[in-house]
Amino acid sequence: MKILLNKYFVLISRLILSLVFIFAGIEKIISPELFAESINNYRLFPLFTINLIAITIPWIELVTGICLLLGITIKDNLKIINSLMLFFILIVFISVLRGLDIDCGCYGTNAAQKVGFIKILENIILFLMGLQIYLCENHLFRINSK
Amino acid sequence: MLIVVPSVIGLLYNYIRSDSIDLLRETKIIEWVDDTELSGIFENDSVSNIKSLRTHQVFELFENGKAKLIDARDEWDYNDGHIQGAINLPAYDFEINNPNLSDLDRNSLIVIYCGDEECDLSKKLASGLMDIGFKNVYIYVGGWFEWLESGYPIEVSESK
Repeated sequence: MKILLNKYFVLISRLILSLVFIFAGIEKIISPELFAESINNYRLFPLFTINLIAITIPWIELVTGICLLLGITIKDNLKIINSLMLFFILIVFISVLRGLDIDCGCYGTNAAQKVGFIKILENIILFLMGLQIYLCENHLFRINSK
Repeated sequence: MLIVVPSVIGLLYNYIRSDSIDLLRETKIIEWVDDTELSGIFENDSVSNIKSLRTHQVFELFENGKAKLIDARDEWDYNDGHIQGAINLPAYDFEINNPNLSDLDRNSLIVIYCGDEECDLSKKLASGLMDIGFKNVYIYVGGWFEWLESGYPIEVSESK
């Protein structure tokens, strides 16, 4: 357990997780219509909410990613990041159970990524990284640790 | 704050950008190609403006050989069965240096399909092709399953 919470190891996880969120946010901001189509394909949300989700979620990802990278309000950021990761895991899992052959919409680019167990595993790993960072009390290169 | 502030930024940015999307999404309206348009050249300027073909129109293009049919599904679905003569360009693996792309004339009439109306792979691939200079791109919304139901020519590939 101690090695998992080693501040250098946690820093690596923080870098990876923040860059994933920053990249994902930017890619979705560039192509909101494509991202909206991806959300719609999950057939989970009322149609009128699709575009609102497509407009706001990428910016939440981008800002939380940047704040995590800079070490600003790490724990508060991680509550949001981990909540998003749990949400993504859930919707991908539901889609797999329903047998949907769709793009996960994870990075919003034209290079689509299919929903599947590999995507669920990726998201679980990212969630665990978020949990690891959250549990660490002593962060390197932070502005504040709240 | 970490939710509200980025959301507000997102809404403001959507308001000022040139390719903004509506705040409230409405039922997808498929823009169908009129039968009289098939012989013309049509330049699509954005993903949402890609026009869709009905099964009988795709069959007409198939019979007269005027269109290049592209299957946007993955390799395994393609190998299990595809429209006769269609090439495979999986939307999930779209790369500019795909060998199937180099054989394609950027001015030729391209018709892309995937599984059915619920599938958006054809639209994604169409967007990718238009980004690299393909001008005359259409989507066959009914896709593989509608073609199969219609009893039109199909073929099966051997798995590699």
